[in-house]
Amino acid sequence: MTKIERQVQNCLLVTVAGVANPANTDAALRMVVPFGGTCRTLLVTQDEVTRAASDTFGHEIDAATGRWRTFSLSAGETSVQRGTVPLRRAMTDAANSLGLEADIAVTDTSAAVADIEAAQAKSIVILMQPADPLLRQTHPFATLRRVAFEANASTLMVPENRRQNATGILVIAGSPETPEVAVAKRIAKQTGEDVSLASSDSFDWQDFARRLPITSPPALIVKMRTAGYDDPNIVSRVSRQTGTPVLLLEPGVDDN
Amino acid sequence: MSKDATPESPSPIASGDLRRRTRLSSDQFKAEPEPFDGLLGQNRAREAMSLAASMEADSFNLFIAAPHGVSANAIAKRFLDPIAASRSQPSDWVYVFNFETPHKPRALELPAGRAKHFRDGIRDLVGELVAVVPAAFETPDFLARRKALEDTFNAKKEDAFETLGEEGRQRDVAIVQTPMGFSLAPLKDGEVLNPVQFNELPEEEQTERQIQLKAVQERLANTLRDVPNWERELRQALQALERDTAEVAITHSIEETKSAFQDLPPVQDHLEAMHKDLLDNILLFSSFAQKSHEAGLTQISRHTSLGPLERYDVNVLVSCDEAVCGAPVIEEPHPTLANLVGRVEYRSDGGALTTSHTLIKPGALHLANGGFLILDGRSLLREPLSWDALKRTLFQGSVAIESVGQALNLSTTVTLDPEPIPTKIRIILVGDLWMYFLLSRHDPDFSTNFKMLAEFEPDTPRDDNTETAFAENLLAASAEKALLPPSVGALERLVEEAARLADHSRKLSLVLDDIQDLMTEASHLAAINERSEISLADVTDAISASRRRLSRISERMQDGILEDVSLIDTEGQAVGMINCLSVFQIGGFGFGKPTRVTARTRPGAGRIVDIEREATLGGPLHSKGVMILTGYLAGRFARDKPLSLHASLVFEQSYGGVDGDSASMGELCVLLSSLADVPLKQSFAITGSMNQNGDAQAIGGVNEKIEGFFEICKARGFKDAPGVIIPQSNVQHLMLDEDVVTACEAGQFAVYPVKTVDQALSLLTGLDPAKLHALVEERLIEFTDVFQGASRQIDSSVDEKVTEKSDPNAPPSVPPTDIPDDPPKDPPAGAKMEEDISDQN
Repeated sequence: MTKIERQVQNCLLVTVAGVANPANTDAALRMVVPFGGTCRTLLVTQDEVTRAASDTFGHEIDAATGRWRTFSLSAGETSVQRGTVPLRRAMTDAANSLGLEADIAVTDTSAAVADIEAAQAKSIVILMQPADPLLRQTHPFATLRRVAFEANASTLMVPENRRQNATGILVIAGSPETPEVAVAKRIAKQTGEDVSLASSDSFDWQDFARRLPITSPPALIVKMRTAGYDDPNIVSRVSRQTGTPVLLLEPGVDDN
Repeated sequence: MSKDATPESPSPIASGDLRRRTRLSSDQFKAEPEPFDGLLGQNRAREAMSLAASMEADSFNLFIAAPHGVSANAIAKRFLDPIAASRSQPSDWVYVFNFETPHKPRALELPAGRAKHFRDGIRDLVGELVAVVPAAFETPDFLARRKALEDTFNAKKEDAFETLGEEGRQRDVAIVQTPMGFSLAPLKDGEVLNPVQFNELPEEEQTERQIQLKAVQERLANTLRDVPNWERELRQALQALERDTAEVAITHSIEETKSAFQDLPPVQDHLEAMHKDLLDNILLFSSFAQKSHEAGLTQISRHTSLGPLERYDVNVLVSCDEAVCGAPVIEEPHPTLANLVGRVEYRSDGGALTTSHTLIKPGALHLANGGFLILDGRSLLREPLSWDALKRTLFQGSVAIESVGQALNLSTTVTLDPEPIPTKIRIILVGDLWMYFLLSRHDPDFSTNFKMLAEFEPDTPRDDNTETAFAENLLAASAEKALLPPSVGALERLVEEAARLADHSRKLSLVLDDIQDLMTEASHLAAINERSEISLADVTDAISASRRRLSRISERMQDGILEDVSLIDTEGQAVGMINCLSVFQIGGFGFGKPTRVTARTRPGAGRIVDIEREATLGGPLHSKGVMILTGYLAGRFARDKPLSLHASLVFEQSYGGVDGDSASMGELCVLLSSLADVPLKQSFAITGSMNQNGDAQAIGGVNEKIEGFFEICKARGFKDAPGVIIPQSNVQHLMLDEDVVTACEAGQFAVYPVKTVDQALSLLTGLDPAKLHALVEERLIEFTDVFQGASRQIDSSVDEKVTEKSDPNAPPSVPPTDIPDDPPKDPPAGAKMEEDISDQN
């Protein structure tokens, strides 16, 4: 087993309470199963942030109308409604049903940032991508994503709006003998998916997104990160546009 | 007849006249008997029906007035079927969704036989679109175009929020999600500052951060305000794309369907409206296809429920059956409002009642449109609102569907208001003559809408030709009803029974149901006896069995007479006593029974007391008969002197009502017997009414009356040459039982026709009527003397009373205990005196 395969087996799922859709945490956990390893889950709370914001300014904007209004919820109510308890319970149930040994840790933003930074070279970081662009700009999600992208960790970006009819694993690589192909084959072995190969020569994510078959997109795209070419922000956008999960592997960890 | 005429003593009626027999020969019958049409002898009705069927004018609907027992509905249908078959088929009618006013489904008229093709064409079209439209939305071209639109929108949104987020980070402002929306918070080193930390900042920094927050806040508000507009633009762009895609996908299919019905402008209009609606509701096909896929349906057939696409379905309301030619002849046996004008049905959907144009059901008026509708008048009038609905349809020339709730303004449920359908229809309303008169008198609309009357005759003249035709009719009816064929003997007996039912030897009853019922019963008996045809014995047995079933009461009455509970003498002679004859009707069964009538006479003021009337048991006709015989007495015996007679007449042992004047001849005879003190033969019974001249007049039920007396005489052994006296004018009505005829032929019994009362008296007394009249006159003179003497006594008594009043000293007089009839000026006192005298007698 290569190091990168071992890395893939060690998952760090980062979920932000209140931003991540509880229904999609199930989907995120399902993505972990094919890797066949352990999954540590960080459930990042934002109670403190919300409370701070409401105490400080006392008004908010309605995303549907674009109008400001008085912030009426007390901190207690916020805690109850935003609380991590329901989400944690949902994730635990989902993990159990999938046979995963999920270690769900409730933490705050700064602790989560530290965990992500520590995870590089040892784990892949699984990031749920909210479909709503405004949600992606909220604190702490924006902070955690930025940290993950800057930490040079292997990252699995899972969009909320995944395609239902997607099949197969597409590996973007220079040859069939690369580590990323081995990882893809290992995942395929677990899932029964076919593995196909696309050339990484002159590869451009934007162009790739335009050419991706709409009627039968792949269930997973795997690519080794190339410095200067694979901007995580662009890859994240392509993942969301195509509704396809993308596993961007960190080249710093190789077989040797 | 004048009183001086000397009547000849009447002879018994020859046996040939007691029952007119039918003699048929199979050679007389047509080789190919015509189908049974039930219109034998109904030329008047046939002519009216033919005219009503052929007339084009709207209001010449037909009322058939038929006696009870004539299956006029079936006859009318048999008559109209061939006429209707020779006509062209009427139009088909369908209901389709009204895309402009959904609650008013549109009615489309299509050429005969095209409605089902239209419906199938539309279903094929919808089935095709269910496959084509979702496929069009899955083509790479459509998906790419849609994705391009969505990407454009998303990119705009992404760029706006990324810019916002970047600006926030640059200004150290965090965007925070709250349960209700978004809020902003100041950041320091990537951490949100809480109020305590914020307040610890230098005042300048706080102010600066407030400015930054304000700027981001304004930017966030502006961005969020733009998002709904972008989303709206995206929706519109996507709708336009879907419409364009659908247009391409459906146009070919729609045009193909339109070309199949290009000769039908209403269909073209509907398809055009459907085309527009399809484009507006194209997503219905995607959802329907998805549901069908989930339900395991791989192909949409013509029989698949269309669910949300039901709006495009075609409801074939009326369609000509290709196997049947011509116009329809519909008979509606249960003409409720819904069965007549149609109805809108509902289905339960999650507890709520919903409906659509596909749930409109036709009524009899729809089905009979372009043809004939046969309705039973009694059933129609019994159904609430049906008669008014029928009239409305006839007046307006169109049938509108409405429920009972709507008609009475009771319904609050949202329902449909289907477009009325123009009608061209001939109504055949079947009832009886009484109903025709009632409707004519009480409903002015009736005469306006029903201008034709077909009146069915109850009977037809009986001659060789009609007997043969009648027999042929029975043969045809037996074939139609799948009965055994009647033999010639059976047919003869059935024809004779028809004459009996007509109560006339020279007529045949056209109430064919009774004869057909008899034939059916006879056929059953023949089958039991393993015969291949109905024999004479089967018919005779069926008649006997039929009478036996209904004769319980008549047998009880007969037993009462034979056991001398009801006193009827059939031998010997008696003064002031005679056997008259009554007829009882129980359901459709009639039987005769003798009734003893007695008379008592005494001097009086010319009054004959009808005890039946006094006891309020006599009907008006009976009273009239008694008054007529009073007139006869006065004219015959008291033309030049007062009729000083008081007589009482009574139907002995009669405890029910008595009506009719058929006993008036017998009452006169018994009265004269009492007056002349001449006995009457009790072996005779008499029936017949009379006029003031003493002429015998016809009565009804003569056969039953004769047979009723015959049965008693037969049971007593025909002693003393029994017989029945009937009016001469009733001889033509005789259709007596074979038993009676046989007894008459054997000289055991006799039926005597009389033209006058004198002839009857001659038979009853054996005396010359002139002699009898002389005895009566003698007795009346005696009565006059007695009565005038009594009157003088009263006059003197009154004079004495006057004297007493003028002379107070005069002695008091004793009031008379036996007071003759008062003058008519004082009826109550007179009534009292009549009772007294009657008691003395």
